[in-house]
Amino acid sequence: MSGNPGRHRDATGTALNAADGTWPEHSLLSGLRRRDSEALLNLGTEVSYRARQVVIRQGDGHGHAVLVVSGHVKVVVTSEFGRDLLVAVRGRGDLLGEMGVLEGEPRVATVVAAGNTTARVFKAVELTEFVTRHNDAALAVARSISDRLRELQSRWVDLIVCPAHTRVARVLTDLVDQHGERTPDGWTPAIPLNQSELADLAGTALSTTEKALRQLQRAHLLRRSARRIVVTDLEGLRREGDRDARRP
Amino acid sequence: MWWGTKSLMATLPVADAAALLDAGVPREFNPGDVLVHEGEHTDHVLLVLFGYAKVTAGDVDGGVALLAIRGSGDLIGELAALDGEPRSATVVAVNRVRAAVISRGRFHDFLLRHPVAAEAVTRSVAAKLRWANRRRVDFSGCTVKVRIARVLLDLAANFGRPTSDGVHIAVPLTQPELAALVGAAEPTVHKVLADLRKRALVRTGYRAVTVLEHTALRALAGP
Repeated sequence: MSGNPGRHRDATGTALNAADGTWPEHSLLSGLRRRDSEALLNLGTEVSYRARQVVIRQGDGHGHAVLVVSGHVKVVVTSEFGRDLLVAVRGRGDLLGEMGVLEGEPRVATVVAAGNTTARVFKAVELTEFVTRHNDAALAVARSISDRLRELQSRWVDLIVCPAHTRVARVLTDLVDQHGERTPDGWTPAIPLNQSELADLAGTALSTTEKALRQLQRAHLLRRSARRIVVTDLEGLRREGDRDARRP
Repeated sequence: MWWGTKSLMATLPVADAAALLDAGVPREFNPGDVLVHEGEHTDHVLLVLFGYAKVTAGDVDGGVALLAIRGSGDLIGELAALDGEPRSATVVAVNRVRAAVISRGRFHDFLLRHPVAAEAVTRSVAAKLRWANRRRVDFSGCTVKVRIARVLLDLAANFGRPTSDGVHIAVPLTQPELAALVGAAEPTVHKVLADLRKRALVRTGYRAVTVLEHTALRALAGP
């Protein structure tokens, strides 16, 4: 999601945010009244996942929904050609699996823990009853689905109208805005993603993403170490990824 | 009134559908008229009564992405009405369109008073997300031919009218528009359509496509 400078302010340290009861902007929980979010957090059971553990499996039935309380998850779609495609990263306060619950359709994607992650796991009936009892919550669920639709539409538009280099810059900016962590010299996505996963998010070939990263590094907008990308000039990177900047 | 088979209105209980219609003020649009502009800060909802509209975004040098087609019974603009953010896309009337314009206040009021409808609206947004998601995955994983077959089947399922020899897609779309919807280059789309025509799976005319062999097209589209 673009056009929202400063969103990274909400992505600072989990502990701090949890302590004052705030949730990242655009997450489901941030859209709920305190009393509703407390009720939701008391629902279901708390489950801990280790890195790479499957939270929801593509193609499964629609038995449960998951609310991320801490950590991050990756949303991966396996196509019939057998290749896994990373389509999104979700974090604290995000609800997953509610579409399957609402629509009664099989899972469209696999959700995997990106590191140690805790979540409230709701049975389908727990979630539908909650939403029926709390009208505002029903709207918040609709809003959180809307938000993901906006994000996906925006990515699709990028795919059609933006050069690959711009898409890589945009994906990195979004990752930092939504799931960024402070480092001494900049920002880094809280979940280590390899270049092939970045290429998935940007919709480019792996070699194209590698080339774009090299260019961005040469322009001193980011630096790379083992599995980390540190964005050293976030506003500069944001400008690189600005689709509208090239508007005549 | 006739609603698209997979549209929101087709899934609403009769009383809820009537209440939603009551909440709106009818308005007519001519072909090419803009219903909502990408980026503008308006928050009303439009319920399509008849006609077709195309949802486009990203109007810059690189071209325009055609995100979706909406027809009778579909909601337009509900994202901004739900989250209060700027319009995510520009919506343009393809032919003559009549729509009920519903203010954000009345739309929210309707959702709070009609929980079954609120769930149906959420489901309809979820269905749009599902479709967008699949198109994104297809883009990376499927050939243009498979993607065209899938888009044609979707259009036929949503906006198809049975005819004596197949299903006519009632949305008047040019081939560049079809190419934009699939997210592929125009010449490639021309080539695939020519092949589908030769194999008598579809018939194409000026801004018209008829699916002649539904089963064969589905086999081509894969699972």
